[in-house]
Amino acid sequence: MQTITIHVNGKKVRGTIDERMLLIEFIRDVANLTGTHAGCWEARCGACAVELDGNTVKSCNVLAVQADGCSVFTVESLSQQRLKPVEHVTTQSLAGVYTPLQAIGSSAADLHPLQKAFHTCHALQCGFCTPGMLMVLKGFLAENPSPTREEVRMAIAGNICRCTGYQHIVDAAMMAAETLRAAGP
Amino acid sequence: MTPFTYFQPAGLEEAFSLVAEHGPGTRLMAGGQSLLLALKERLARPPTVVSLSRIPELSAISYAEDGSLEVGAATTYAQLQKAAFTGWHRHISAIAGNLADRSVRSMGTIGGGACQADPRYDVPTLLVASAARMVIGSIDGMRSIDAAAFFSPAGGTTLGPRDILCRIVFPPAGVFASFGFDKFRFRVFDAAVVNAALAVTTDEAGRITIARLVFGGIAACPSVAGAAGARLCGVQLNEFASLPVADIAAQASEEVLPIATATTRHRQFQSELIKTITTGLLTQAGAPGG
Ligand SMILES: Cc1cc2nc3c(=O)[nH]c(=O)nc-3n(C[C@H](O)[C@H](O)[C@H](O)COP(=O)(O)OP(=O)(O)OC[C@H]3O[C@@H](n4cnc5c(N)ncnc54)[C@H](O)[C@@H]3O)c2cc1C
Ligand code: FES
Ligand code: FES
Repeated sequence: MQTITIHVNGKKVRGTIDERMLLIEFIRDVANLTGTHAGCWEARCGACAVELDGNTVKSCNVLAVQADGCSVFTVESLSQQRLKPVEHVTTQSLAGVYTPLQAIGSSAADLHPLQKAFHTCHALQCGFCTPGMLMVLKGFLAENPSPTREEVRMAIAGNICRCTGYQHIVDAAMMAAETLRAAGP
Repeated sequence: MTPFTYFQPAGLEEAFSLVAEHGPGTRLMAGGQSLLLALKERLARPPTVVSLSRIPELSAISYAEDGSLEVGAATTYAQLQKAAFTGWHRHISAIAGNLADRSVRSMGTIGGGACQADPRYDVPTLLVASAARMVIGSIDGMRSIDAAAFFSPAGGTTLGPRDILCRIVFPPAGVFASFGFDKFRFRVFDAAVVNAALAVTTDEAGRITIARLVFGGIAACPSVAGAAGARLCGVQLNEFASLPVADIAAQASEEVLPIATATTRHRQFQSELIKTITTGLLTQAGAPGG
């Protein structure tokens, strides 16, 4: 066992953990942030991508001890979190509201340009791959603000989506790139 | 994963002694991108893991006096991709930036790629084609060997249990008159079915002196097509157009993967790929600026 500290989304999280614990387990089970998804546990699907000291990594293929003292940003860091449901979300209550964002008491104004573009372009269906797609694209667009569609495809080569067929994800990345360019550095 | 004790030394000397002290079962971890997959499958059950990621001298990029490029073994692919290289060194960036995927490249290291010694991976082919020197250290001191002697013909490396690969020394940026690398893979992040590199040096008169043509994915270690390469010697780079390129490519293919031994579809496909990729590399080497 080792005691480690990781700064997750700017907050210091300490844990006494087994050396075998993966970074994704630390994020989900110690930091209690379940936005990061585990699809394969073998560095193939990319759903678990997070930012580790400025670089995107697959958190299922990094030990938590490797990230000791480092800073990690997860999908939750993209937009302001006001996810305290006004009331308990049920099928009934959902049926009464028009958009899922309303259901969780958030608003579109809070979304990161990438999230907004994913929303607008219908770039997710089940949403399982989305956290990884967003984190990889965030790092990629910071490095290459004016990508071609082909470059976007190469950037998300390690992220598998079973639903969308990728077209809309590429559309969303292009739209987000435009928004981010307009917003300036 | 089976339980292990994890060490994160801050210096090389400390790493050398940890490895010596904890014995042959100890595994080194650079980025962990290959090792963790093996640990998860319990293909490796080391009692001790020694991390190399917090040793500054292992992730430094520098130049020797003669212009040789010295890359620390724990330098990540992402670092190499972003490095401002010149001459043929730019191919190192290009290769590092076009393997696996973005997220794996942030963690995976060139030394890890070398020590993993998977013939389908790009690093072994790059190292052998460029005749890089491998600087190896242990508690007993430092030594250096040729990349060709680093990879064991039976697969794996010739490293001893106490050895740590410390640096890779690439020849200077101006050494090769031409350098090329190409590979075929089904999906972007798949390991290559065949990869290949061609490194060419010339004399003052512009005649080819060495043409090292190396293939990965064929045998347990990188395969050198010595005879096919030798056919290029003495020729001017700009006279490549007059060479029987397809014939040389066929010879290279026969040399590293004799068609008589290519009894499976996969082997036959590889044999064809070698020809196609070699033809491309030769044509490119002959083109102006190749
Ligand atoms: C999804 C995925 C796709 C990939 N696709 C490709 C691809 O297309 N092409 C390609 O070339 N590679 C590919 N790779 C492999 C990648 O290149 C390797 O995983 C990486 O190079 C290994 O580096 P690492 O630093 O993570 O090594 P580690 O996993 O840390 O180590 C690998 C091995 O080398 C040993 N080792 C590491 N460093 C040293 C050292 N300095 N001295 C002695 N021994 C050492 C370790 O003990 C271990 O046995 C892929 C990997 C993944 C996960
Ligand atoms: S869960 Fe990490 S890549 Fe699939
Ligand atoms: S939206 Fe379902 S996996 Fe991508």
